[in-house]
Amino acid sequence: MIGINRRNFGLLAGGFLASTAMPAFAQAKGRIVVGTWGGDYQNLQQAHIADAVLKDSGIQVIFDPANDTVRKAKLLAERRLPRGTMDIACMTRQGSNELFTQGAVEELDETKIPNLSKVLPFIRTKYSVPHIYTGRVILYNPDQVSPAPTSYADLWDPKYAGKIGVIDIQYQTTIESAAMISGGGPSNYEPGKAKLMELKKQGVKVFATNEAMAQALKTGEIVMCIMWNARGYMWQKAGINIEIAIPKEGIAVYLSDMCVPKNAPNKEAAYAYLNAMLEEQPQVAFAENMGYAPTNSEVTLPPELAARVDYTPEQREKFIMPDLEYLLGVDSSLQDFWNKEFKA
Amino acid sequence: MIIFCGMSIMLLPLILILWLSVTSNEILALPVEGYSFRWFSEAFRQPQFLSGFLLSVTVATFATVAGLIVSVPAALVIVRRRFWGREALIQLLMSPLTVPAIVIGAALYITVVEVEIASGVPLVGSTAIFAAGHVLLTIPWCVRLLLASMEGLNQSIEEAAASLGASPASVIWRVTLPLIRPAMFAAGVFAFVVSFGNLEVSIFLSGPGQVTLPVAVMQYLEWKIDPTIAAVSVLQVLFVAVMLVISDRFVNISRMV
Repeated sequence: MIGINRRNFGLLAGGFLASTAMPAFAQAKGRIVVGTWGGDYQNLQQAHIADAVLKDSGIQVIFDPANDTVRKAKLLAERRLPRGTMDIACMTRQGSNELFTQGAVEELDETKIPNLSKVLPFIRTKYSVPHIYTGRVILYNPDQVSPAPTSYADLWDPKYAGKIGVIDIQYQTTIESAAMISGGGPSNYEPGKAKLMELKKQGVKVFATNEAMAQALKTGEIVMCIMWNARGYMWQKAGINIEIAIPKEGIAVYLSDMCVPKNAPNKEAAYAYLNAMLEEQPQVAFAENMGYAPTNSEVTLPPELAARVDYTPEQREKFIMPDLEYLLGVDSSLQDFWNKEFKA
Repeated sequence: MIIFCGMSIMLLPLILILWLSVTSNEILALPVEGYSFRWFSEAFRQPQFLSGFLLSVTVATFATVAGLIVSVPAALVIVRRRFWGREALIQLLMSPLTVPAIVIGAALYITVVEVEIASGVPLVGSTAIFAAGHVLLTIPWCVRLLLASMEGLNQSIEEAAASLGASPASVIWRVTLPLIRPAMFAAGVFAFVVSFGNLEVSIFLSGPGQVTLPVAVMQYLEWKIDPTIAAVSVLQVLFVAVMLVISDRFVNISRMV
């Protein structure tokens, strides 16, 4: 039998009052949920952010791994909830822009992310912190492709007909690459469609995923493809016989962001996490293991690694950034073209 | 000859997975460059595979038991009684089979969000909803197998028990249930396998930090395509095979499945 006498009641009431007053001077601590890609992407965050930079911070990090499309669907569905399920959402730049446009993620309070000032200015946004980035390149098998490709147009060389592959989930970037050699560009994908139909006539192979493409490069079924530099680095490390060529049309940029949903339950800790992920150790770990360039401009990679995964100031000046507004508008028509004409 | 071809096509993925799991290739592809057991040790070094396996077993066990608890009475009523809407009820119970699992996952998720907005009860990401989603997957398999078994049941045994004075509850407990025990077991095996292997419902409904084995495997594949996942699959196949051999001692499932 639990009796509550006046004294106990007073203690309980006092404790309750004290606990409600706590958030006013709360430190960033407690549990946060990081919605992220799983596998190595999650493991590296666990090892180099949660278990390293934030080790004694009192922040407990729980990962919620899924593909970004599932994560986006979840965030859009739960945006009207007062308390969401995620404190941090890892997104592609297109994804974070869409989530911000839809009102699902918040405009960041930059004073809470001191490291943000070190981030390369041209990849910053008000709604996301760039985590890692890489450039789009051409991967080729040096035994089969000679001379080395210098342009996306080399994929259309009849010499390689039937040995060129594209990736289903990379439909946007594939159409963009085709547009870049046919009078279009990041803000006009239209000319790319006709150009891709030529590639189709030459017997292009469409692979469902990046991994299927890696297998095809390994077995020699495919000799050349459009890919991210970071994937090229990972595949070289895995023993696939490929070289990386930078197209003369320019380096189009892929960005992975982290955002804070408007209804994140623990925003203070989320901001601490965003700041921690920009620290040198996790940034270098992602470069070494996955081949992504650091977004923190003050992080210096070992020269040999930098040569393979990072970009020189001259290259950065000529980066081709995605036109997010344009992509939001045309995405469904791009999907239509891809599925009904190109793949049909 | 045809049987032999059919059998080898069915066995091919199993043999290939077994073979690839012991190659030293860094990429899951042929030709084989050498042999090694290192992918098995790699599999054990990835904590998400072991925790994912344990979670999948837990969820699948719960879903199997709960699925049977729902399906046995439903099947009994459907077989023994003729009532208005009986066919519709069968279709309803079978409906999770006709909807793609990814649609079930997304639809349940959106529904749960709406219910939480309306009621204020924190349901999104809760274990209860996650488990309920899996129970939903098991119901059609249980109901279909139980119906097939019960329809072939000799009703005169139950009638004899009743005429000798057994109460309806006693008839069900002491006659009907023992008679359909092999079917219940087979239904349980199917339910377990369906829940254990499910990816689509888990990815939407599992709470933060709850990563089932299929989700862990898919997420691993996002970045690496080494034979670690082949090693994980071999271990999974072994687990299921051992379970089947053990259960075969209790019920002759080869007769049922």
